[in-house]
Amino acid sequence: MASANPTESPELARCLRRRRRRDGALLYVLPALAIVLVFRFVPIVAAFAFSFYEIKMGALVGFVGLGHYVKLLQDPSFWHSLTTTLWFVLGTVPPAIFGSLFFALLLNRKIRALGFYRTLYFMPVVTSMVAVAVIWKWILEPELGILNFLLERLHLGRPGWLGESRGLFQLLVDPGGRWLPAWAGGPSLALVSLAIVNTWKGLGYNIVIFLAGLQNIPQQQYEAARIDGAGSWQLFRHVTWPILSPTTFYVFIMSTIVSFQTFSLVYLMTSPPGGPEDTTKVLVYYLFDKGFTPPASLGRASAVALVLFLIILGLTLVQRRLAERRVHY
Amino acid sequence: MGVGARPLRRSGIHLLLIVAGLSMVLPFLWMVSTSLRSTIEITRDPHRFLPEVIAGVPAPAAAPQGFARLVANYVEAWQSAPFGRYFFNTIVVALSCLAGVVLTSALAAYAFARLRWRGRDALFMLFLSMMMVPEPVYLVPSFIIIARLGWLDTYAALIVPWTVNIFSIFLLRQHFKTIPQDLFDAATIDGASRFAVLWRIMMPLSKAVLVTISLFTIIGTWNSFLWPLVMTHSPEMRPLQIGLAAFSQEEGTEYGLMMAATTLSVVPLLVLYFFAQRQIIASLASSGLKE
Amino acid sequence: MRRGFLALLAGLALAAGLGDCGARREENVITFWHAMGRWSPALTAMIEEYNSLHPELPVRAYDMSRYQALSQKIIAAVAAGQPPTISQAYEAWTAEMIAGNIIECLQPYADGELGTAPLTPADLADFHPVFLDECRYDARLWSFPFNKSVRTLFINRDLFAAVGLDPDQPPRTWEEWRDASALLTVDADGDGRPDRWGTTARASVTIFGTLLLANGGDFFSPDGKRCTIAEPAGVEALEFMAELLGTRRLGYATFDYAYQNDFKAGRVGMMEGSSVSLSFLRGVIDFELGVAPLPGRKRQAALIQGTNLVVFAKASEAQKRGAWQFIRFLTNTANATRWSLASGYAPLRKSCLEQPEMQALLAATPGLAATYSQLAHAFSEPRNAAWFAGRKYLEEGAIQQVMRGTASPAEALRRTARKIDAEIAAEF
Repeated sequence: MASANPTESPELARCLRRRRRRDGALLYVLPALAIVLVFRFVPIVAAFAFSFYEIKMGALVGFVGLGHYVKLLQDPSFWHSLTTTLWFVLGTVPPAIFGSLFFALLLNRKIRALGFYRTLYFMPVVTSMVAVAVIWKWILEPELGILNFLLERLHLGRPGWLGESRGLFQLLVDPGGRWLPAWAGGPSLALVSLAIVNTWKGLGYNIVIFLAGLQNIPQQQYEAARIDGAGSWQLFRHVTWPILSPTTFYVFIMSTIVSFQTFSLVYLMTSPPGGPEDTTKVLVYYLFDKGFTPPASLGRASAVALVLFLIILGLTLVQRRLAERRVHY
Repeated sequence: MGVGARPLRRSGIHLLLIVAGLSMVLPFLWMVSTSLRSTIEITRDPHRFLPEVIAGVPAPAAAPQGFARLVANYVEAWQSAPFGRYFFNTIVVALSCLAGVVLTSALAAYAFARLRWRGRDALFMLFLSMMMVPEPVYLVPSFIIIARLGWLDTYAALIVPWTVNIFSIFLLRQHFKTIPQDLFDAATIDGASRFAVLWRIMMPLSKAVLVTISLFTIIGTWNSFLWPLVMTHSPEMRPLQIGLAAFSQEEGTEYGLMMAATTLSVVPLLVLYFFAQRQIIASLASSGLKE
Repeated sequence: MRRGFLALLAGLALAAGLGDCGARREENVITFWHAMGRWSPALTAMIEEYNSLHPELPVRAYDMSRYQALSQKIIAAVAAGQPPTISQAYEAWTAEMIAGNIIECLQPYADGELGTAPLTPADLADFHPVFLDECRYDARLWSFPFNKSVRTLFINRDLFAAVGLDPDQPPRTWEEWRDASALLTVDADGDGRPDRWGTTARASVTIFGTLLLANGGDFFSPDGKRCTIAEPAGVEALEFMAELLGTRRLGYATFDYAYQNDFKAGRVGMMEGSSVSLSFLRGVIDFELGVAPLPGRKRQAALIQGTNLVVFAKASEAQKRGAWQFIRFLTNTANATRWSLASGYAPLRKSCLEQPEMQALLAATPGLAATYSQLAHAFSEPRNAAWFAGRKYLEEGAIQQVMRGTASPAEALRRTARKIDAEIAAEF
């Protein structure tokens, strides 16, 4: 495996240091840094600053200090959105990683019509969210949709899908709601439906990333391992998985960050947006609603944004701590 | 993990791929099917899969017949809005962003992955954290900045902020980290400057990832909605997605037209992807790392 | 390296400084933001006519297609200090904008104080009072009516005739409504699920509000300090709504606009909707359409909807005066009639109904005259912050739950009223 430590060889290190002074590493980062500074960093800081003010329809009205944050923490709707988002992330990220890895492995062979398959799997990624929402809403229609039509033929009942506010666990165990308390009902079926659609749409994206990562694996490694008598599973565990780990790490972090920020899916697929009894009201929709639906309070939305940011940041740091040990470069 | 899979296993794999693949493509097929039906036909039977025009169901007397009937929605969609201009705008923006992203990502990822400098990891974390803020949050402050720069309703507003993509930097950085240090050291000892190492060694080895990044950048710009919505006013500056949104109003979507327009906007991406993924395969043949 | 950084900072400072010069200040046009989408052509025609009459300060209109997009753009533009001259606005937005000192009070213009054409007593009598009342805050005019609609009952005359109901005698009371729906709900293939329904609607605050008002109730007490939707009038209204639309024996409700599809397909006898839907329905249905005022109980009531026009305070004096002139032009009898005919929005003035083309339309559409006559005693929804905040909860929480059967009308309304009362208390 690669990665010799440069400081192992003092001569090499000195040589590199001399080069460093001449080229200026910062220069490489400068173009990206400039753009990020002006169009991301400054706006985000400004947005967070908004959170301390009262802003009506875009007009600054007054300073409220921590007022928005206090109201936020007291708003049961906020906490509900937070739980909803957590369930959604839980239902999206693992399938995203393992599902796409599985298919990437399948598609990484010399089989016929490979290009055709790969294009097929990528179609959902390329289709706009608007079209995806319309199509899936039709498929999941409880009365007239195809899915329930098939399920009924198989005597599996007619779930309410996007209109079902009852929790998954409740539906599986106690549909009548007789003994399972409300809080233990789990994510609503509506939310689960969204998670499924989200996974379906994003699968191709992650498959492509995994495929690109799989190209890195030198065939010699496989040959060597096979000569040693390794079977498929050992090949995967000892050759593929370790070399793929930076890619897997990337997909893990990215999927989490992205799924925390889900918005258009909810907005377009559930009616009203936010779902049956608010069971699909994820945080970014809650934020958008507070900020852009009159009475539009940008200050309040920005407070939510800061809180959301801190949550994602914290989570990412935890992920890095846990996973980076297992990532081999 | 190779070519010599047993026949039964191979056909099992094919079966699985086909079933899953069907689920991927079915909605797309429905979209195309709907685009071939008239509004009245859709209203009357919303869940019909095979378009009437293909099944041979006669159209009402006053409606177009034959070939005109088949492309009716496409023609009307194209004519109802300046789609030629929308396509042009989208392509200009997508290609410009692509150039910017590849450039900035390569440079930045190199610096983060292979160079050692003070504040590197802290800056990388900062970059990463910028991604953790959803678009609606920084939309209004960005708008203020763009307005003050006088860039409202111009290409600059649609391109410049998107010439850096932190996802791409992250992805490329991960990839650069997997390239063996030996190559890096060998080149440096041979007298290559850092830039030369990047340009002559790391980039060629990263074709697959670069193609991936290019693909995702184009798709991202192609499908972007919220940003262009707020940053542009005039129809001349609108990209595709804004044009598409006009087909869907609150009191009823014109499904046939909308699906026709959506199909038009999706097909170029599919074609692009089909060629791009072949590039990924081609690049592995020439990379020198695989057989 | 350090030099690079300094150069960067200098560049940013320069750009920021230059920025203000670059900001477009179009002083010689009136910018008009709207979301009229498919009715843009009709609007554009009127604007062009105005521009030919007033070439020195023409109107340039921008269509944002959807109200959601329009509100986002307004917020962003106001934050950036570059709002348009005129825009459409829902009253929820207007109330906020008044509080934020963003829009111009139109009362001085209406009074002719700024050398502008005032609203004469004849004008004031000609506009339907409910439209102008909705634009007044503390007896001062802050916005101006433009595209308004009224809640309407749409009927499928063919289905009516098929079950023996007289299409020219649509239901006028709740009892008649219930009975007609029962007759129209038919399970033709005997599978336990009706194939044709009596009534359909979107489970919204507007239909609840209409029923509440029709039952003699109101949203707030006269002094505005108490929310009164949970009183018996309101509970009965919601119970009726649940019976008509929730039990799925007489009709059904959806939570989005999908309900119109079934009506268009000829599977529902009656549909409650906005009068604007008339223009959406024309040309896509193959049955005879009729319209009617919504049935009442203790009184006939109808709710109006739609947006009004506001003028932004940041515009120049000339632009604001021009804006008023444009608004008056847009809402004179001839143009208001033109607009109503082209878009399906309600005629703003009583004199519009006298116009020949309008007369022709009224003659051709059974029930339209009666529908428009509702405007004389129509209502608008409350316009205070507590209502705007509580309205969402009413629709997405209370009404949804009642429709799904997970809450009783009385309990749901009581909860909502308590929330709204809390908001009112917070304001004072």
